[in-house]
Amino acid sequence: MVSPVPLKQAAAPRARAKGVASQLQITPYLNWWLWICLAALYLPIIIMVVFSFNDSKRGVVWRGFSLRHYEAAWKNHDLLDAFGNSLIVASGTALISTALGLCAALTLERIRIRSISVYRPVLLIPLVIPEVCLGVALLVFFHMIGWHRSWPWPLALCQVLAAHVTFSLPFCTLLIRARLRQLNSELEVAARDLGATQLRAIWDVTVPLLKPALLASILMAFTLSLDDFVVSFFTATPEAQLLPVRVFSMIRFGATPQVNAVSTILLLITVVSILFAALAYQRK
Amino acid sequence: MNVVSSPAIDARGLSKNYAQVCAVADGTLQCKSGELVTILGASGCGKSTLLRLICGLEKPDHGQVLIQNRDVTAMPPEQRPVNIVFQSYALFPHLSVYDNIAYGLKVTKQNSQTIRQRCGEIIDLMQLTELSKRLPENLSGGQQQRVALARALVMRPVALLLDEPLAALDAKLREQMRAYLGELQATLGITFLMVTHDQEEALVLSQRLAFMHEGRILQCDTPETVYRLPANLLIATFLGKMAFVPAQIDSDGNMFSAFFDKPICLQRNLPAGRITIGIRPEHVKLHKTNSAEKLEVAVNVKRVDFFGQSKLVTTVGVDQTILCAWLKADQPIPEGKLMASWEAASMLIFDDTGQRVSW
Repeated sequence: MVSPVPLKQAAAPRARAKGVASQLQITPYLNWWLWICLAALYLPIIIMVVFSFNDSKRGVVWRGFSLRHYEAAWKNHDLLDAFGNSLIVASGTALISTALGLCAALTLERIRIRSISVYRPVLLIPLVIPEVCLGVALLVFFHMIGWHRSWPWPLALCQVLAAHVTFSLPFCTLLIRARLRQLNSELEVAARDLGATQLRAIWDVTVPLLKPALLASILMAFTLSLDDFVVSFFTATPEAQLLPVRVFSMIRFGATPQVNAVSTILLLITVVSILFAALAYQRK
Repeated sequence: MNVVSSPAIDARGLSKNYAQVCAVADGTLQCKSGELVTILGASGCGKSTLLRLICGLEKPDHGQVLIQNRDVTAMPPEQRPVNIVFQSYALFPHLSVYDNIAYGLKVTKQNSQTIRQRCGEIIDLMQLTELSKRLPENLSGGQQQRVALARALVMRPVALLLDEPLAALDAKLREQMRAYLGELQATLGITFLMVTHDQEEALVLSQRLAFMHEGRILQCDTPETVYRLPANLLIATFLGKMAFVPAQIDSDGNMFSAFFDKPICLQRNLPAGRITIGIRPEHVKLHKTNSAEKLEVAVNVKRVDFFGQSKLVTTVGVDQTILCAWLKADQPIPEGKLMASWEAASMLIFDDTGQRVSW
């Protein structure tokens, strides 16, 4: 006969040592709760991905594996154009807002004037402005300055590009500034002492050391731009539609599994670039 | 290189304020060519700021910096013919040792032949040959220090400025590097201007020592002079050990103090008034019986600190004034009540504003 008491006594110190992990085991409800949350977050996405491979026209019942919706999406020129536009705008946004973010971060950290503390919050306000407000504001702004809505493609993309830079710049600035603050500012000073001008010192010393943050910022801005709907909806011209807006207009005529297929690809690109951004930022 | 007549560095009345806080009030300092000068002072006295003003990393509010008789006050740091070694070394972490050293030459657009030759020379001199491909993070503190020195010296500066170069090293290594710095300076004959808060470093290394306090240089002289004849109480307190005895001088030249049991006639012309007497422990003798010395007080031993080659005996006088004396390590301390004596000539006298009075 085995008594359960000594077993429990033996397990107790180990449970204490394991801390949080063992607490999850002790309270299985918490564990379930976690799974419920995860399911609520990811089940719709998983279903969308699974049904993008469904061999059916309407996509309510599983009829077997097929790539026909991907094929249909590939042949849909409107969709492909929108996808291409989205990639161009996302790439442009990534590069421009990272470059501007670097300048903003350097200005905020390196220039010693008293009014600089005013600019810090001003730069971060777009983070908390509702996107609808930003979209309306940009639309009104572009109308007021008389931006040509009738420019031919690729110039027609400039408007939405400017709009995307507006909302992704604060993210980029935050990321780059956080890394810049960790750098020893004497490095730049040392480069200047050795004969480099201020710009040269920044280019030779600060930028290489900021590389992880710059890469993270590029990927972050790319992702933000690629899956933005609200601002794109307000600012994109009919000649240059972006993918999320295109997908939305497709749904109005009934959700075809083609939308699932496109969304799955979009999801893949987003997840992969966020993953790379996280990896890049963590690398020293 | 042989500009003997003009000083390598000539700082004239430099001042710098940071948001109403005065960092440097009157930075006036001259370094002759080939001289090793240290600026000694407690932390926060403005010595690092003075160094940064000289190499152009800060702009002075007033004053001038002349390097080899050329006014460089308005010149940005990259154009000044001086280089600085930082306390943190500030080695570029993404560049190898060789690229760190070559950076200054590359950025000033020397031709590749010159770069290779001069880097090779300095790498040999600093014994960095085996380390030249490594990244700074893979070097020890002492090695990083040598790379930082090499990176500045390869520029062949008129003067090398060193900001607390040894502060980041541990005690043993610090002593080695101190000797190394001295030898290096003697070999190269380049002017070194070094900032330190370590009095031992300043006394051992420097040919001239500038003592700085609250943004002003209070005394600048050879280490022996500054140690033996400090200009005021602040320097006397900072440098070495000294016992301070408050006293009073009357119009007849007699000195009174609670420390002495009788008034002492100094037979010299000293202004009447309140003074402070300074006595270094190496001038104090301890003995059991009265001696012929005029300056003699009864003391009790309070504590003995053993320092290896010698021991420091801390004694208290009748009025609780503390007086220290150095004894040889093997010298026994007499038991019971003791007499402490010193020669009048070894005594320093400061007036009531704290300035030393020569007598």
